[in-house]
Amino acid sequence: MSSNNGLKVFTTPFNSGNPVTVLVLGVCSALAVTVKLQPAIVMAISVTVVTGFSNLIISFMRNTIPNSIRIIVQLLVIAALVILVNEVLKAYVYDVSKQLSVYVGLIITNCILMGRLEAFALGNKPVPSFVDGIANGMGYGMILIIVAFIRELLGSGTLFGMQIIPESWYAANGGFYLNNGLIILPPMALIILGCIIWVHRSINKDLQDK
Amino acid sequence: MENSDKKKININGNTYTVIYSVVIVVVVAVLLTIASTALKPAQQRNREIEKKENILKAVGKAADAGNVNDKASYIEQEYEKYIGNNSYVIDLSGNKKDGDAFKTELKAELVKPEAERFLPVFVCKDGEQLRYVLQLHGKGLWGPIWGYIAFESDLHTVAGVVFDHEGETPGLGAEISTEPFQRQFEKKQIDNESNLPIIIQKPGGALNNHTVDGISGGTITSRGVQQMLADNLKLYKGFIDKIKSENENNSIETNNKNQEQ
Repeated sequence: MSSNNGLKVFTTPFNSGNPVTVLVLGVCSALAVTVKLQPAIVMAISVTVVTGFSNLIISFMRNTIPNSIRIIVQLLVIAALVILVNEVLKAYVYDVSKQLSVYVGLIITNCILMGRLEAFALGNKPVPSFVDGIANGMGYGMILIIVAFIRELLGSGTLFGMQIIPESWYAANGGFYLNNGLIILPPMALIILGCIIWVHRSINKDLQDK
Repeated sequence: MENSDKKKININGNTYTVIYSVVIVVVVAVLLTIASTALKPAQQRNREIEKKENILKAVGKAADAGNVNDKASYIEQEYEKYIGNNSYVIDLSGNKKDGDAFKTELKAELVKPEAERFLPVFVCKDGEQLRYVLQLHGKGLWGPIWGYIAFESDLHTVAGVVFDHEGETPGLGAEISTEPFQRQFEKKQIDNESNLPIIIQKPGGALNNHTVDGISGGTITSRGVQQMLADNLKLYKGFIDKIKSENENNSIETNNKNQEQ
């Protein structure tokens, strides 16, 4: 791996190797937990922790894992980390864990994790692997937060639960404004995600199909 | 180099693979057990605080829960102050039974045969004022919905409600857990004549004492709430009638006393 210098490993997932907009992985959870900013951020942190540490652990173990049960071992490590994260959330940020409900458990099936383990951690030393995992988690989280920002602002008129659109604008109080109920539904998240991919590709010409 | 290579264990051999998988599974299992045991008390406490908060919110207490730094101890204090040990379980005819109301879950009771069902009742004392909080459990569109309904001491006027849900659609059915929806129930009266004690109707129509506005786009969830109120209040009917007749006897007694004087 010649492109293995630290900075590049860290920056790729934010641009030309973004797991959501370029590799189109982890879309399911990006639709489900982006109605409000707070759960989106907790989800982003959770995924970052899991990708970072699963990459680190698998990279430490990479020379001992029997090839025939490679995927199973990876899954076991991911599952263990996800259950740990879920238990910690339940114990310390109960309200948020209630909002995320099953989606924390579903991090296990997030393709970003298996993808990074197979593509990176199995062939690289622990430190770069850890950096790669953290960066991919953050690249995923970045998209999540952008989508959640748009959806919470337009769908509920709030950010982090605080009212942003003035109350007096609302039709109920004699104004002209209504929250866009469509934004709250998952299909609209998919459309917003599509727009982000569009913007990303028009800025970064390398990503365009010839 | 060649020597050390020969001494290495064959990591693709069957024995190695089996031992490797056994070891890693045991290690992971032990780790998760330790984590789960260590975090259980904190998780349990979170669930209890949530329940206490819901009960208090139904009677309109604990209003500052969102603004205090230490929410948990604030809720504990408020609960001690207004409810404390003033809770009991009742059977379907309204008689008090032995049991811990706080640990009784309506969801678990509803699957038991009728004779063995115990229903929790929480009594909120605010000075002279008595309010009764009853538990609710029903079905929404995608999953269970639940909550509490609080009555004034006449057990006829609603003091407040709290609803929560597992997976109703955000922005539509999920609105049942928001304040504007729940506020509507305050001061409504139970309709004894009808099968539906409180009717949740299409928004925009005229409202009376027994009706509240439903949620546009959340019709099935709204109906679920309406049905939940009907089903659960039917179960509590024994208790409600009993308290009502006790109230009447009390007022007759005081009237008699007043006349004697």
